[in-house]
Amino acid sequence: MNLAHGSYFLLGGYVGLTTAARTKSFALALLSGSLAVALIGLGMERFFLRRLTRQSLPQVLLTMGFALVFQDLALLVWGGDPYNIAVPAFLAQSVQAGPVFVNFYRLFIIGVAFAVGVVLWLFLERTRAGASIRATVDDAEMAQGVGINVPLLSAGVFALGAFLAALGGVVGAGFIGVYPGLDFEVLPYAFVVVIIGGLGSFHGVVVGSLVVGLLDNFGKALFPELSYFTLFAPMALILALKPTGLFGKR
Amino acid sequence: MLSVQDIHSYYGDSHVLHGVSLTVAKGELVAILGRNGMGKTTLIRALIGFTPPREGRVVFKDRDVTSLPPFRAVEMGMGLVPQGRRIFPSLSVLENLKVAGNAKARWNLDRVFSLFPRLAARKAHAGDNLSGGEQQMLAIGRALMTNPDLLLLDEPTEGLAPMVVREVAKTLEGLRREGLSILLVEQSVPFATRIADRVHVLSRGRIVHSCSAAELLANEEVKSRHLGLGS
Ligand SMILES: Nc1ncnc2c1ncn2[C@@H]1O[C@H](COP(=O)(O)OP(=O)(O)OP(=O)(O)O)[C@@H](O)[C@H]1O
Ligand SMILES: [Mg+2]
Repeated sequence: MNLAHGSYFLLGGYVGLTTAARTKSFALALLSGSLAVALIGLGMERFFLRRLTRQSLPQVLLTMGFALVFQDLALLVWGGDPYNIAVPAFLAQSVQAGPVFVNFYRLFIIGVAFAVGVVLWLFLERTRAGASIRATVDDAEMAQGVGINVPLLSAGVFALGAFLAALGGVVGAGFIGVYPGLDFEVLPYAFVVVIIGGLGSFHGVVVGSLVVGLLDNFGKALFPELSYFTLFAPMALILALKPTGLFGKR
Repeated sequence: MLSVQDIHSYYGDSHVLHGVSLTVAKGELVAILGRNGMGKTTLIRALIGFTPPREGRVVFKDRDVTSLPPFRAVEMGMGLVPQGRRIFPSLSVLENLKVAGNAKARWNLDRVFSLFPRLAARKAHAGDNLSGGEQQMLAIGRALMTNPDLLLLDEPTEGLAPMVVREVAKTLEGLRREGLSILLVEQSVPFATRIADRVHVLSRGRIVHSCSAAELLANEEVKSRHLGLGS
């Protein structure tokens, strides 16, 4: 349980923003934002969270503390104004297709999400490292019992999670921008996705994020006065019917 | 190969092993016999490092491994076949073997599959979609993939049909002939005495009797008092 996940998104956006401003390169912004935050994640895991394996409550408190520290640090460094990352010109255009305007950057976001999903799936299902991760999720103790270096693997997975959250942050900074409070705005979405999909399930995350994305957008468009309700009510319903989420085993 | 020196194990405040000592020489098959809840699994957990003993030492290949993380003990050549098999359910049979393999392969997939042809036929099956006997073979194959010099087995015959038990016994005898050292934990006296050189009887966390397999078979008193067998 990591409440600093939203902070990774935010910090990724800010680091990407600074890189983009200095280098005028969107690609470098993506790279630097994700890598910098992956390193932060690695440090957090190595020096703090590793001591708290399987202790949910201390994990929640510690990562909440980190989230607050990151929030203040970001405010100190980047100030309180909202920014948008300048995206490459070819992504900034729109075309009209019949009655709808298609924004290239939206297509780019969908493409990135799809590519990340496919690469992650191939990694988890088709490589030995991926199988080791699944074995560790099944039974971490026995994974060590067959010689898997579980501490190293956990650190790697944690850093990968931070990397991807930050990648999302940079991509998002070209669209919704980056501003104070963004961290705690995106965090609930991540949690609802995981809760709906089920802990420890890749299919769950895919289905969960589609459900959350559609519910949230249609909900806000159709019943704007209900806002979060359209998101959390279905989550409560799923939890009541299937406490492990749609695809979760535990 | 393995020397266990006066180890004491606890779960929280409950003191389970009260000073257990034993040795396993190279190429030897030693069995620990004991009834339910006597501390057999706790002993295995102490050796592999799942629950490191609070006192005493575990020396493996002349190195103190008492507080080594389990994956290091496995790297050094301890192979574990745990109680209940603990096959990874999300992994296929093939993947269950592959995640345990390492680079310096004395054991590889081909060798495991020729030892257990039934596993080869079920390569693509999910790990939890096997019969009990097949799961036990997979658990042994998986431990072999780590290239062990010492194999730790925790009740490998539990819940298996007599035919499969005989197959497991043959497999262990074969492995032992190849020079593998084996520490076997069992409740089944016939099975353990059939394949072991020496046996120790564990009762309430203490070794209460040590002898050769043949001597145990003849000792009605120990069998009835500590193993719940006999007249
Ligand atoms: N995780 C645990 N926490 C607390 N006590 C435990 C735990 N595991 C085992 N025990 C206790 O420790 C004692 C020894 O258990 P252990 O599992 O080593 O027995 P065993 O000889 O392997 O039994 P079995 O033949 O049933 O497998 C038992 O009294 C058991 O209740
Ligand atoms: Mg046991």
